[in-house]
Amino acid sequence: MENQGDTSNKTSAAGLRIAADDFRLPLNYQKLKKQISHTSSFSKTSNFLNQKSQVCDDAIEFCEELLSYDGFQTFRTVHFFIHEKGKSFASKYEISKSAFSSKELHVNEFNQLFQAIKKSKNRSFGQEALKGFTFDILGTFLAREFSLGNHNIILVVSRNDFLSQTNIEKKAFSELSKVIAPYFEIILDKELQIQQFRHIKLAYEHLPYKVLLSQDKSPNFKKLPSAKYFKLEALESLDKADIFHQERIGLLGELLNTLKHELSNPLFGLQLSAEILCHEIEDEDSRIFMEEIASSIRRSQSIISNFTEFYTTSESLKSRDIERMVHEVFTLTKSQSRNILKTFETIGEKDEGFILEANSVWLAQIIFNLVVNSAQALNQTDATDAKILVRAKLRHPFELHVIDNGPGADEEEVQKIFRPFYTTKEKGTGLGLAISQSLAAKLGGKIEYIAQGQGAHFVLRLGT
Amino acid sequence: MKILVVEDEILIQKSLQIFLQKRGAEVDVSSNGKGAIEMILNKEYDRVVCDLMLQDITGFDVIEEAKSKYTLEEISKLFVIITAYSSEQVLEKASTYNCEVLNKPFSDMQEALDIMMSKKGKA
Repeated sequence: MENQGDTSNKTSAAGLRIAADDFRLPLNYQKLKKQISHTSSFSKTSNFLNQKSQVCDDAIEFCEELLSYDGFQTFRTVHFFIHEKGKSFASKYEISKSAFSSKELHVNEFNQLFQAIKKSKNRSFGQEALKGFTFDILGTFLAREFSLGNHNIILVVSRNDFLSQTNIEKKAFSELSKVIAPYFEIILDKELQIQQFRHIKLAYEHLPYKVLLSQDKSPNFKKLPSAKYFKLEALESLDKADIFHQERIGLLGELLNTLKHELSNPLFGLQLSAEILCHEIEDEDSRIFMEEIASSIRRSQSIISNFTEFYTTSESLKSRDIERMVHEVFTLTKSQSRNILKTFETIGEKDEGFILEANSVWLAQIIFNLVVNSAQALNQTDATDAKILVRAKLRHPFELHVIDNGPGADEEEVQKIFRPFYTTKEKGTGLGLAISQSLAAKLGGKIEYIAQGQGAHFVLRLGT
Repeated sequence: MKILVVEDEILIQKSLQIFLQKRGAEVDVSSNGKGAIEMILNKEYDRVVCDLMLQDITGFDVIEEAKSKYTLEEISKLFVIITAYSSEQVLEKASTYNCEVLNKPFSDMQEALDIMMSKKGKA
């Protein structure tokens, strides 16, 4: 025991923190370095790539640098397609000396293009060659696909004109293509590593445990991939209800994904047959009836696809995502808030570039709980003009207000309102606000009750 | 034009049949893979619109069986694959046959029908 106490003292004294090096994330550095050093000794191309890959922070920058490659002087634009394996979307970047743009495309589209290029013999294309692809490249181009450890990528260079490539250009591109793969791999894996570490750190920060770190091996400590050791210690005030809730949300996400796959096919069948019947039915009343059915089907389709988005975890939210989230909450709480007018508005000016770094599922859960809380309170009244207003400040520091014109809470109630199992409602569990408050704490924020004339007013503040 | 629609979701199957008939095609349907194979081997079709997830076997099994009658090139033009769940693996496999692949639900119904009715299949 003494030993353990000793270790935890050391932990705090040394100020040990989790670092990226503590995890051996999927990097093939050694193997790749070998490949590179093998080719670099005798090639001008490799020298160029060595130099450029070291000064570039990401693949986009690296692509831009490629335009300065000897033999590439005539090329104006690099199109770079990238798909991280396992993701349902790929990205396309258009990079030239003076401009840059990006676009998302479906993985199917990416894969079709990937296969088409893989199959072509000379990798030189005109407009005709890849007809049918939504592929806005002007004129003729040279393309090459690469399958890397964690990504599939496509590199395309073009002059933005319709003349076919010269032999010099073809030769330069082919030389470059031969050796460029490991450089892309290193740069992309590094990007991936940074991203993954961000995830690990987030999980680490939100673990319902205290993590003790040590430099030395002590009893009950486990080894990290690095030289450090760690041990998990349960937090004293571990809120069981909260953990169950987290698990339930996770499970729900999986369930919804399965549901989406199982439901989308029959819904598609209903959509098609309803479309046909809308045209066939001659009786006016029946036709209108059928159109209602068709529109309900379309709504079901969009709910099921939004649902899964709603439960997809993301760590950074744009203004648009937050707005969409609030509207999604309105849809999801419809059964509880049928006769309540729900409005969303932004407070003050919107910062278009605003990005909120927060777990989307938790944030959605908080908004959901607050809206349901208001709706339930309103449903107990006989008010005919029941209203819920959600107002968000879409700039730093983020604020989200949920305001209703229900009974509100008196001073005594306000003291207890966030306590678990405290409720004023007939069917309440007393967990909604308690869970929301603990989720807010995990997001580094707080929910407060603002006492005002009439109704309830909650505000969530993050990043203050 | 003679088309076989292989799809186990009855409403999708019937709707496609009607849509294609309206465009002048002669349409046979099958709800399962084994029946489809029999029809492909015993009749002549200009196009087979085939779902991948069938109750008995997969659409890929149907294509494999069709190989006993058609060359690879003919197969690439004969089949149009329709699928609700297109993972990378599925698409990669589909691309080995070089067939047209359509995702359900179709984002553009008319375009999907155009592809099913096209003379050549995949360009």
